[in-house]
Amino acid sequence: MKHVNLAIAAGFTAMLSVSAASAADISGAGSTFIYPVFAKWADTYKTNTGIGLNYQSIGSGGGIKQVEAKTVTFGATDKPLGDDELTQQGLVQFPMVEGGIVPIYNIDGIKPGELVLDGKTLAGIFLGTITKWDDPAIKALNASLKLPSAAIVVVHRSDGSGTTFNFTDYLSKNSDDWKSKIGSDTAVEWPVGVGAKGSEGVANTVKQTAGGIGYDEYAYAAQNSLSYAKMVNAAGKVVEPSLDSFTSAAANADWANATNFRIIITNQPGDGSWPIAASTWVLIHAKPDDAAAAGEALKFFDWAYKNGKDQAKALDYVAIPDPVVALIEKSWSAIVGPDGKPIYAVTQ
Amino acid sequence: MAVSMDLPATAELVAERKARRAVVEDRFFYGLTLASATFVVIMLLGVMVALIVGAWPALSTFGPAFIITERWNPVKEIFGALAPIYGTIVTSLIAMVIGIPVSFGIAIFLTELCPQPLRRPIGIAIELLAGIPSIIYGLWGFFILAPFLQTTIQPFLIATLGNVPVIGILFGGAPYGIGLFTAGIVLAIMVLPFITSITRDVFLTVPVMLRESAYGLGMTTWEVVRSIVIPYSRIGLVGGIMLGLGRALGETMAVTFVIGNSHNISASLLAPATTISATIANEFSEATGDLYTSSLIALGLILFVITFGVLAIAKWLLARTAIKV
Amino acid sequence: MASYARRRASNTIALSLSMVATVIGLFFLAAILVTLLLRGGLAISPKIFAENTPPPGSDGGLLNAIFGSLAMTALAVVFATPIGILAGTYLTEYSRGSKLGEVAKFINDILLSAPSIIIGLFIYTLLVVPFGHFSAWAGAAALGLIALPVINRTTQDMLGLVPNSLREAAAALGTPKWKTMTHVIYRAARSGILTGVLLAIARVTGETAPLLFTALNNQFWSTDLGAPMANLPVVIFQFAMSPYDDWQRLAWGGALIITVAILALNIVARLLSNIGTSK
Repeated sequence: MKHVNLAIAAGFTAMLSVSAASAADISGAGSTFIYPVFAKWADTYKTNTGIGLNYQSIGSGGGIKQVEAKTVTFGATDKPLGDDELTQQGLVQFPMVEGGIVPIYNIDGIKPGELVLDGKTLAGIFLGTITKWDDPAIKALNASLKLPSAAIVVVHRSDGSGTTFNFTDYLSKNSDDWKSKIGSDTAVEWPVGVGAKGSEGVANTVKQTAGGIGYDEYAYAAQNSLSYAKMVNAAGKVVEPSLDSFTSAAANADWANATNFRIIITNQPGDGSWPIAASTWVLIHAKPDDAAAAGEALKFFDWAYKNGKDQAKALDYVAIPDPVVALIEKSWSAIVGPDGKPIYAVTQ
Repeated sequence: MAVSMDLPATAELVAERKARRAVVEDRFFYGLTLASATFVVIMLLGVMVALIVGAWPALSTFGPAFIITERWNPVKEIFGALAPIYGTIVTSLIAMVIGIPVSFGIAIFLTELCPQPLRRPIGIAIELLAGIPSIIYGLWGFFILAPFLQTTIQPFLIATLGNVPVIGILFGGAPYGIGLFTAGIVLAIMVLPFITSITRDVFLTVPVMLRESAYGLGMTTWEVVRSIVIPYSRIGLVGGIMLGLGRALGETMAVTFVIGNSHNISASLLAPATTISATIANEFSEATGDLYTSSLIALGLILFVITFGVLAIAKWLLARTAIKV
Repeated sequence: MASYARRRASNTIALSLSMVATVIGLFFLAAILVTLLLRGGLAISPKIFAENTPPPGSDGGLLNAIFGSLAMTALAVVFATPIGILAGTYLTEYSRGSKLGEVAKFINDILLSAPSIIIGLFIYTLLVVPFGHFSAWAGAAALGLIALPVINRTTQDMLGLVPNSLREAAAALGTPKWKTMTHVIYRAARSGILTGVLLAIARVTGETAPLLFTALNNQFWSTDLGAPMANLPVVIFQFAMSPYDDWQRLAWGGALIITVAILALNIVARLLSNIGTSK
């Protein structure tokens, strides 16, 4: 009996002291918007190179906080940081991928893609002025649908979210009421509705709540068979969320002339453009404490830009175009090690 | 001859050395136990100090107005504790309003009505409720209770009580499923075992003489309970209630799933809200900026003060009834 | 003077209501357990114990989370048990009636019932912020601080049950106090103290809030105690609040595992204390 106890204790201690391959894993945190494609890329990357990506999908706010506190190697955010904050924190910022935010709903009898909404109506719903699904404003956009007289349950993000930033930015552009009362940011004072944590939480809560409406990155809706709405875009046309409409919106982005790659792509012109498109940026320290970890992260991003395009497309994300990737990797020369030399030398 | 003279002396020396060593060992052991007991005290003091230090930036920035401000804007860095405090108090109140009668009912059943062989199993079954971790309650509340309430009870309440003047405000709004009401019900189930077991123990302290005399006078069981048992044990009963209240106030995971995470205060009991612990659990890991983090710690400090007070009163009351709790 | 019939009627009503209350209580217990069995049962397979937590949309297991919870709970118990037993010893054997002892007992009970999220905040400021990262050590410390007052309290109760005659007999034999404690008293209260430790483990097993700010989570297998470590409660929290069916299934499976473990610990603890008292 005594020997068995000793053996168990010894085995346990041995297990604890073996600090496996986890030391080489890349650590990141932030945007839930980019999480589905990060997860896909990380899976393949790990099979190819054995190095894993430990990414905590805690929302853009959390990502910014963690990377500024240096508890992770990189952060991901859907709201780009301003020049001041970037200089103050010593961070480098570059876009990783673009995609679309869709309104998701749970209405009895209405199938995915059947409901049509526009910016003004969406703002009314989230302001609490439109409270029932058979409100005249919604009916006007959906003459052919039989809308129930059910209460609308608004679901929004409870955490600091870049998705919220882009969504409220779109609402502000389409509703003066929203702009003056609420405004746009990663966290706003929502007048109505329940809060859920992360894009995952919003998707889950809408799924569970009859009459619910929320906003989420398109991959969450597609992956979980949630109903998403079609939108009326800036050109007045009704568009479906798809890789094509996202690409059309992203095509207008003039990355070359944006300081620190800061462009917001909501409400873009173009007949086929999705009105609520967004990008995700990666934040990484210009003078990282752990140069090796930063190097591994940059290697991963380079791999993702070059080899991850198909996987991104499969999830309906828009990959960053090659000319822009070249600009981005040129900006990586600002990321230096303790000797002052750039950590990542791009081998073309 | 010389040998026999040495022996007693050595034996004495050995005994003396042993005795002295025993004193040292005793003192060492005493020191160990004293240090351990002091460690517990230091830990609690440490918690209080850490909370006060962490909360100081927020408290000094906002002052006492922090407690009565409803606004919670992380981006503009304006924080107010009113919504979380409101949610904490209301959910706990709902839990008490539902939980106390049910607990008393169970305790009365177990002490007066239940057939002897069933008493132990049912008592154990109720105590099992206490062992189930709060995250399980949260899961069950979100996936089972909330949809059920949303489709049945809540529309019913809105349609009936919602139209009654005055009380109607309490039941207005949309049927969210999650919200103050649902969280209150989940909390009620969680505090049931605590209040029940203390109530039952307190009921059992009533002297048999008193009850037998009452029965002898021809009182019915209910009259004995109402007029003899409850008044006699009322101090202990209140203590048990306070203990349950303390549990409800601090509950985190169960509430986080079903409270709805809204920083708005609404008059309706069916509306989403937030509690202190749910706010901390949801927002702490991504609080950027010192003021945001400090405000969350300040919420923790408020919660600590409230639960400390409630628990202290509970212990004081129960100490007066000689119930070991 | 109320009529006898009316008194009898109110008696019947009141007692029926008490029976209804009991049925309500038992009903909720059954509802929760049945839900756990049905939804969690679907997830229980050898895979859940063999594979690590998967990325969203794929299948996997809970191995790293189970290991993390076991490791941190074990560390917490190793830390809390000696201190808890010794503290309980002081409060029963050395400080009977003293003001300091009463205050220490009171404070222990406050710590016992304090919201666990406060403990998590405390350990965060102590063991996470200074080191700049989350770690399993911090998680174990938080769990240990929750277990400590439980063990302290049960030790006090159990030592108090040991008859004084034992102590007097040992003293009459000239035994030093510390030897009396370790060789006589602890042995006599052994099963009770062990019960206390088991109950502390049961209490700590389900705690989520304190781990949220200390050990955080880790989607990969990791035995590194200085880094974030996966654990069942936080994984359940994350997976349950996601829209992915695979993840939700695993969340229920994890919930079932935790509940079974806690119920088993409670049953063993109860059996132990029965053996102890029937001796």
